[in-house]
Amino acid sequence: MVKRKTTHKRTTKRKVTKKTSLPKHKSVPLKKVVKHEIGPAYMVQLSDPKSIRKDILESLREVIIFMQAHEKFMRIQEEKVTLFAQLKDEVKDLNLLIEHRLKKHLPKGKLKAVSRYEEKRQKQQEMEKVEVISAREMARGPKIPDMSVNVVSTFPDGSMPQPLPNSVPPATPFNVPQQRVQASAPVPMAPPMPKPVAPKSDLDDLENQLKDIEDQLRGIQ
Amino acid sequence: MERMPVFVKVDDYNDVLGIVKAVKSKLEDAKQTLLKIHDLKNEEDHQIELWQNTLAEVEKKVDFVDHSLNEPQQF
Repeated sequence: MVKRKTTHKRTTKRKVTKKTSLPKHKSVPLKKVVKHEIGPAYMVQLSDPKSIRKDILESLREVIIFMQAHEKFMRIQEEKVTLFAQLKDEVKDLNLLIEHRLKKHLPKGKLKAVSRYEEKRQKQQEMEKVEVISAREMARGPKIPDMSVNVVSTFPDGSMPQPLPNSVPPATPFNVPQQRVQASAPVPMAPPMPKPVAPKSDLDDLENQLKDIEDQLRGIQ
Repeated sequence: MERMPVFVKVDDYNDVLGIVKAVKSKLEDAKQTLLKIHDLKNEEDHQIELWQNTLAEVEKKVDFVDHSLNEPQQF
């Protein structure tokens, strides 16, 4: 008898399960799980998200344009530096040619080299000095010469004030010998000193007035 | 979708506020630096003008020397 092999096609799939067995002696370390307390998630509402997004993107674009312009500016600066170096060399050559070569062939003179620009500059400096000096004099005030003159005060109508009983005799002015002040002919009062003013024309007027006052005071003596 | 309101987390919102503050301070610094650059540029222009004037004067004098050397009959 011949044995026939019968083959059957499996219609169902065998479930293959792999037996995994852990080694008995090894122990798995337990991981500590820290539980974070999750609080309530607060959110902020954006009022106009479209415009905010637009503004952010536009400002980014502007920043990029600025950086491009900065790159261009750096290139211009480098070019400027090279041009300055070139100018320096050219001026050096000019100086050499004029000082060392041209001067040798021309006669020596005693006159100094004067340029119009330097003249203007010197004039400006002198004007500034004058202004500073005049400002200082204004701050000090008008100078009154220290003269020994008895100035007696009078009423507007020319009458003399009568001394009060039991009163202290009037103080004598500076640089005058100790004398009793006697009633004398009414002396006109010196005109009031004008206030110092910044502009130059007023300064000149002030000086002229001071001169007039000095002349009057000398005449009174 | 376009009409849906947009919300941002509070943490991110605070970060954004801090970043905006930093950006504003940087803008102020940049403005100050630009002003200084502007002043330096003005000084530079003034110096360049001085150089131009000096060169013009030198040119005038050299022209005078050239003119006087080319026409000696006048002297």
